[in-house]
Amino acid sequence: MLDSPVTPDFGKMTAREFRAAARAGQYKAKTTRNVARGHVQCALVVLPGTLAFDFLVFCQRNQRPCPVLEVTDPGNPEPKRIAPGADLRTDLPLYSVYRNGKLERHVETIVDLWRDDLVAFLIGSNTSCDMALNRIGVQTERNRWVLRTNIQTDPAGPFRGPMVVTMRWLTPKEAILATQLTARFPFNHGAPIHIGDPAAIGADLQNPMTGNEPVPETPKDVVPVFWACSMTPQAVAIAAGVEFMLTSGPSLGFIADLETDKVGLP
Amino acid sequence: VTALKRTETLTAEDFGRMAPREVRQAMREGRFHLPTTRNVARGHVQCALVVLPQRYAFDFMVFCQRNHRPCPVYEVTDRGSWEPRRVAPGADLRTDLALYHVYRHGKPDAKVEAITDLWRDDLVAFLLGCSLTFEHALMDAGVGVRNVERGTLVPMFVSNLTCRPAGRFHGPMVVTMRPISEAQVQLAGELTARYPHAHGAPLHAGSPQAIGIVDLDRPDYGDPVTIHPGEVPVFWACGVTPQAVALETRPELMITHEPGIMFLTDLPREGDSRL
Repeated sequence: MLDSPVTPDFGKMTAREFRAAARAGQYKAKTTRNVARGHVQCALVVLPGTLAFDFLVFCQRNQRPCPVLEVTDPGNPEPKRIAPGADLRTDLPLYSVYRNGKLERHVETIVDLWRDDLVAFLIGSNTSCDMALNRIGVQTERNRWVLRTNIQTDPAGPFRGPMVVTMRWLTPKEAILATQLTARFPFNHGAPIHIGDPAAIGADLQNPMTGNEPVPETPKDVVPVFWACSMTPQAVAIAAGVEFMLTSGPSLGFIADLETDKVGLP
Repeated sequence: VTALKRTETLTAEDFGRMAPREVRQAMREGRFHLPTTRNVARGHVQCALVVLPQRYAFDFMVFCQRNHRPCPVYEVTDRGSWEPRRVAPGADLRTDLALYHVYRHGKPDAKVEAITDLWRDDLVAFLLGCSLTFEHALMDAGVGVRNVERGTLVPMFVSNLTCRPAGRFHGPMVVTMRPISEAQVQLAGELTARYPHAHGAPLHAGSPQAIGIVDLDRPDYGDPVTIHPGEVPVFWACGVTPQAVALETRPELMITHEPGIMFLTDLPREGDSRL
């Protein structure tokens, strides 16, 4: 289920060092989980200015799946607040290019696709909380899936559609600890949105969005715990059939300078 | 169904017990005459209102996102819609506040009891969190709030802390000040941190000069309060910030609530609610 492990070098890098490695095309793994450990990871969504207000309102109305950490000025690829000096056109390992709601291709930079009217949104990811979860004894490497559900988001303009979630299998004790801990990180999806029966939220166990295998039957000794997922805004933008959209590649986030431990509530 | 008494004058006590929907109805009928919504429809989130034409809305919303402490956004209505259907379904933002301030090109134009005839298809309404939501938590825990005890408006100051700009919106942060006894400063911080959508924990405690405030006896807005020996001035981000910043851009039309008289939402003030 999990993608290839990350070499320790990337895990120990600072956020800036990792972005430089990504810019130089040195990062080839399938996921950014565990890179530059301790830093906030973000999903990237880039949209034309004409759609930017509706998308920002969508995120405001759906803060659990879409916690916005930064919105860039139109045409400016620098996320000045959470990663000053970074360039969103080059500093991610891989990008997805969508036209009219369809995936067109994956590319390693979007310099030649950049336009003066584009606005970039950086959306917090629950990957950011992995290290904190590990510290309190909740494993994050196994038994984790990204799933479609039938929970409807609150629409704004053309943006509407069902929520995407991260499901983890946790022991009851882990579920309690993980709920308490993640509630302190509202900008990384916060507390779970559901605990228990996957069918109650229409979770599609047959077709996970990560990995190729259906989710096996739930073992007796674990509880499925569900968090809103930062793939929701991408799924919704695809459903809206937006004419042009750039996003971070699958499972490959943008690494911000923010330290996860410093963005939590007391 | 309403418990409003049709003929009698409604007292502060009456308003304290009402549901938010009943308070909104009383405001709509011109029957709200208290100086503040403090303790009105107790236990519910109260919000500041900012209405702007659509062409200013994106920049203003990005400004709020970049300055979350002074500008926590509870709701943005659809263009032209006056119903805040998430925080108060069925309410009408054109009538359900007691008093509105109308500004044209950055200058005060009128104070009105309804904005129905000013409403346009291109207007967008923003509801922003407000510190009236957390003051009760301080008092319930035994932390005195001087402006509440005195029945005055909280003193507000233009600080030298700079907001992060967005488009045409930029300017200094406005802060509120409450004197807190030294022994209770930490408690006050912990309590208000529980309300991240009502400005959250203090920004600063101690020297006013450190954030560019020269004279605590002369607030820029609101009323001064006395600081007793053994008390520390504690400063929170203030919801007047987005209004002050928006006015500086001289928008062709802007409508806000009357300071201290907020919009009553249906949201309970405790708990995660939908945010």
